[in-house]
Amino acid sequence: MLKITRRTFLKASAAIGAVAASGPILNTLKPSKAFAAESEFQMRPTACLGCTTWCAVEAKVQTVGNIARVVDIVGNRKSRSNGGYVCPRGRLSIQQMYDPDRVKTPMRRTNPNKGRGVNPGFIPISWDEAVDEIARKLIEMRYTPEPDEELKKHSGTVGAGSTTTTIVTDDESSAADAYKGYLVTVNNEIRMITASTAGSAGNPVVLTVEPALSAAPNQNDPFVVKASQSHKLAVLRGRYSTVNDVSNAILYSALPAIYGTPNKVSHSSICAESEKGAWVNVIGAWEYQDYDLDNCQCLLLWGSDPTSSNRMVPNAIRKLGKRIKAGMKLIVVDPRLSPAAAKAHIWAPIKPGTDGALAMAIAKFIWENMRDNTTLRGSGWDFITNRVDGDIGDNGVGGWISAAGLSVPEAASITGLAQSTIRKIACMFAGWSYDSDGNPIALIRTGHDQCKAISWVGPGIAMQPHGLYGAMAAAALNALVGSFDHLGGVINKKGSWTQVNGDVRAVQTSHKDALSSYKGAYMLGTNKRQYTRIDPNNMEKDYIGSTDPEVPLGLPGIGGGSNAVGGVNPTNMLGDALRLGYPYGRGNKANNCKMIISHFANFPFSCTGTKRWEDALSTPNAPFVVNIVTHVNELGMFSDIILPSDHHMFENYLFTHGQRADLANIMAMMRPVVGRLYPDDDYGTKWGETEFVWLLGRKMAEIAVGDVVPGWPTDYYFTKLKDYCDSYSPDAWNNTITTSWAFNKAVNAYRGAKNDPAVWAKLDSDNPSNYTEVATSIGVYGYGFGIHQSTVDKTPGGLYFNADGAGQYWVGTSAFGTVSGKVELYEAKKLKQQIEAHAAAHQYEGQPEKLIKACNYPQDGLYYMPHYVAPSLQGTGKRFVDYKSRLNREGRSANCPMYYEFKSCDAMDVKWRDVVKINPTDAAALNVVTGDWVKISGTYKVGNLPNIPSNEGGGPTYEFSDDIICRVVVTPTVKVGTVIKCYGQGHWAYGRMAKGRVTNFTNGVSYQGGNNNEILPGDYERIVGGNQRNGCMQVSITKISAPYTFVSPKQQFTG
Amino acid sequence: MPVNQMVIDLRLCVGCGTCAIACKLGNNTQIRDKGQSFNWADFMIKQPPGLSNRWMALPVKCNHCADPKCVAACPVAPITDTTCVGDKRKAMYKLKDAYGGLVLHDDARCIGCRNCQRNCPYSVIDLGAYNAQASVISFNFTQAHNEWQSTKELFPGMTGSPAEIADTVGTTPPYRTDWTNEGGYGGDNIRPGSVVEKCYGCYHRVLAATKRLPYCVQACPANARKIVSGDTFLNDQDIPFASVAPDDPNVDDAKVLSSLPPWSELRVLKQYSMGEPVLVGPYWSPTQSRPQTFYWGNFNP
Repeated sequence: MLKITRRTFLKASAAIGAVAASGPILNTLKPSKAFAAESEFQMRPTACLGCTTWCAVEAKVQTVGNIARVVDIVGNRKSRSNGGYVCPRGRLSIQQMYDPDRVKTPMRRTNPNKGRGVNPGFIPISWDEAVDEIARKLIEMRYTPEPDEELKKHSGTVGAGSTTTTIVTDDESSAADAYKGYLVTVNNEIRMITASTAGSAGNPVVLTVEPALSAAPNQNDPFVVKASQSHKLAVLRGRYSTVNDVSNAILYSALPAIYGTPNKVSHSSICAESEKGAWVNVIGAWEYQDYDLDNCQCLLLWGSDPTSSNRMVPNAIRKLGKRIKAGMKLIVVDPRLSPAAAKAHIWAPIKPGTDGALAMAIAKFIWENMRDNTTLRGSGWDFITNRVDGDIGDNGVGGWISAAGLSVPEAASITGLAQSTIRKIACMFAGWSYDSDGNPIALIRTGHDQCKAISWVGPGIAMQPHGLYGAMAAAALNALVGSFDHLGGVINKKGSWTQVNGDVRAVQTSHKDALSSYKGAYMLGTNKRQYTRIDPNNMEKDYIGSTDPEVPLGLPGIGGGSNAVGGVNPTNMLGDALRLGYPYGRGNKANNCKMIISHFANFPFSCTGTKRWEDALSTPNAPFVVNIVTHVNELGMFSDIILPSDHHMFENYLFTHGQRADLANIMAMMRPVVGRLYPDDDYGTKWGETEFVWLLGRKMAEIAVGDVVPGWPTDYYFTKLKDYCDSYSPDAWNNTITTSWAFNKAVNAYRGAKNDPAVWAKLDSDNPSNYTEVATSIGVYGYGFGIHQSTVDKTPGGLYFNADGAGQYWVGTSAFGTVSGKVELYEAKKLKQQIEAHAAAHQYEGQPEKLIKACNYPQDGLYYMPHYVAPSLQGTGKRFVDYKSRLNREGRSANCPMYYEFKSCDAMDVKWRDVVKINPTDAAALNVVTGDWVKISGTYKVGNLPNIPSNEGGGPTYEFSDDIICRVVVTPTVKVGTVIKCYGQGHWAYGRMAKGRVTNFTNGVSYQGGNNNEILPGDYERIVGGNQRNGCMQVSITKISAPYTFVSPKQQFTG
Repeated sequence: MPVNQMVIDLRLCVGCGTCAIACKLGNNTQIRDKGQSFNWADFMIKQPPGLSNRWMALPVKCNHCADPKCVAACPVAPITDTTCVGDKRKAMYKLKDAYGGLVLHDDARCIGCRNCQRNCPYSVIDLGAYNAQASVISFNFTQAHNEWQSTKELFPGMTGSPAEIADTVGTTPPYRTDWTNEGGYGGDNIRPGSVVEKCYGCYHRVLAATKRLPYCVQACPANARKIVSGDTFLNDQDIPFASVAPDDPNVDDAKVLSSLPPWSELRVLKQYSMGEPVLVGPYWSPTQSRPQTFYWGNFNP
């Protein structure tokens, strides 16, 4: 139980009371020149995971008695990526930390009915009770044979052994270990097959099972082989925490592998993958790019405002105005006048979904002018001739332009922009002066200055059903001015990651090796169905089953993966799989995914098409949900067990690495800068997602399988998770589990050595100079605690922009990651390989056209080059455009008071309100004025594409419709024909401030605006597998009368 | 004598709101209530008259006017104080330039009449009633942060309450920045009920023995806010921000600030529009009675 420090409270109250009592009285205080500073404070480094920049920050901490509290957040002063500043998200974390609605004890659902608006009937339980229930559920699934399907049924010869039993089958055809991992039932006893020999004529397969059968069975006793049900567990990742392998080595990597499920479902398809898809097909880099704003002379932003979100926000805020003052030109392509657009030299309010047309017109215009007029060529021309795949003619840039280029008049007609505007954008980007009609006059960014231009591909243009090729076109523009890896350009090359990466890789390898030895528990075998993920990213005929009438959506999701398999598993696929009962249940939802363990994920709010998740998680046949989280979020309302999690920015250790900003690689280390808010529980401490696995492993090793599943011995235990944790813990298992394990591990990974107490002493001394020393000593060079690899030297002629005779851009050894090693415009060779391989491996008869069609793209023959594809529209009405709040801490903000108080920082938004922006022309037609309430309704189809046979990925679609309510701001800062709304509000759970003023917190209604995801379709850019959000959804707007009367924020807070 | 100014360069400002959040945290101002925002630093979205597709973010804070209307309107009987302008110190008063020039408020002597709030050209007495985006002066109807006394738990026994968090941490609010004013200028770092409040220019930082920048200046990620001399500004030279240390217990930035002239403030803003920046001169007109705003209708909480 929590210890209420009543004495402290009374003391504080008394102090406040005394001041109040002294109130309005005249007194004779004497002025003094002696001003007191703030009370003592410490600056403690940690990291902010509020967006994908993963900033190094410092928490300002003050202490009363023994209680330290966070009072402010500043950027880490030694951080190059943010220069010592945070964006507004950083400070909002403080209100999350001290939000009154944080979960303080494990909670258990008592109401078996689940649904939005259904009261879960939560009761508090102990950690031990919670972990015990989870462990038993896992053991039950792991050791209970699959009820519906019998994979192999043979008679054979059975022999006894001491700890194992061997069974000789009559199967003479299967390969070695074909039966491994399955369960076998003999005489009502169930056992695990740990190995099987290869069969051949006269030489049948021999199974090894454990533990030994209780008695040697008779020869020719029938036995039955079935799958276990461990694959019916899905682990959801919401928050990254790298330890030394893929993210969340313990919960997200080790647990599923050891337990035996392929279902690890992450969230990156919600936002990131479409953007990465643009880069991977142009320069072979499946990642966010870095940008050298310090030297940039022309910044062209596509559907992105980096001073608001995505990405390197503090760096962008710090640089944007400064660079403009220094002469940088700014062009913003966006249907809304974003904060960046408000500062732009050219704002191009483009018709949503037509960015590819603009990019292809710019490309053609630049190319043809350079080709025909040598005086317009700077060093960009050198890049085109040397660094782009193919010659500049038929199989190079020229071929690409002649196949896919658009004329300015064509693009003007498609995009709604003036022809002169398009020409001016092209001239400005290429570094040319221009006349009033936008025709180029002369090269004004001469020599290498021509290369100092950035075409910044944001998610806005990529997250569209036809977003891939247009985003590729925008990315390709960088090649035309030679800005790839050029000073002031798009930086793909990393700093000196290599040295540290070597250490990380070594640990990763050892981790994987260790993990593989525990995969005796893993579901191995040959039956594809058992090992297909629940959220498949491809359409496999044998997975779908030709007779099934309704199948989950499939899509290639090629991403950064291997040729035929694909790399992206769209998060929403799990929702679809759950609601349809596929693949394991084959339509029987009760026998599909049975259990979810989620940490910090909130897919019923953060995924597009949220209704699919509400359906999937509702009665009947909803999976058992374990939710490790700080608040009762939307997923929490569907959860069976909620486990409180730390706010890792302040309360626990966490480690991530891999982001970049301002040409510095970022390693982010979070640590407990203050004590845990709720420190006491039955384990003497409080646990988060990492430590949870140890609790679980220990508990599972204590519960006899036979006590849970009849047919098993009562002295047989699942110990592998515990064994694994033991092997990886720096302390003996029975010792107090150190909460700093993950962090120590991370540091050890970088040091290649054991934990050094002296390091920790230095870190705890709050002397910033120590951080640099420590960071350096662990191989993380400079810039303070835990952050930043050595950085790219931006000096011309310096380490990375070496003058090599050919110029300042990256040449020589630095090939791009493409197949050709060059920028690929005419033919993205890897994409071609992937599409062809995928078409051959699946149901497309080797024909890429069929695959392209199944991906909802027109068969225009330009599948391997950047080009314009007209948008694929859903619904009817105004075009709905979604953008991200400056205040969203990823998709999971608790929306604390300051979120609303300063909501107006999302330009044209209103404090304490959720609004949709409508152009005056549209507003007049809709008969709405600023302040009116409206209902925004979307009807959209989810599922497979119409008019495609089911065995080619088609089949029935299912239709959703939903609506949200909010208020209107009429403003010309949004393009005619669009309605634009900021994402981030519309919670119907997640605490008193997020949800708004209501008396019943379980009624499923949002009283604080609308969640855009409820009306966004939840379809995909299907080649990559990223969600669509922009440019495609059409909605209807209806004026309604005011549905709520708001109370004051203070009343809302007091409940 | 050169005038010491806070200059906000709107060419650098992107309207992110970090200044406002940093101020609200550092100065412990309370949650919005009864038409009061309690935002000592705030910002407005400024548009040209009528419906326009241009906008700019316009930071709002107390201007520490040379001839402050709030001080003139304060009815509290002055006491003699040679550090104050006119040697008179009301509940609202202005320090002489030699002592920093700030317009300060003494919570203990405030009688809660709100005359200052009514007379300030940049304040309204009710944000909702005036459809205002911001107000420099706010009025505490109650003890600040008394919402943290609420014992309401959303999931009783499983989630916390404001009072429990405040108990646990031992301060109200639980993220309270503790600072004191030994000299009697201003008041406690949490305001009592029945007094007005406004920006104190972070006097507890700027004029303290260990001088620090105001929260809003220190926090601005765009470096749009600077404390510079007027001459420097007019020459449009950037003061390298790095020369002023942010919070760091090991760095005494007194040298930097003490070398600057006394505090006063002249707000010279440059409007930024499409194309090149245009110097539009002092933005705040002395005759302007209310903050400009409000193309959106009746919206205020």
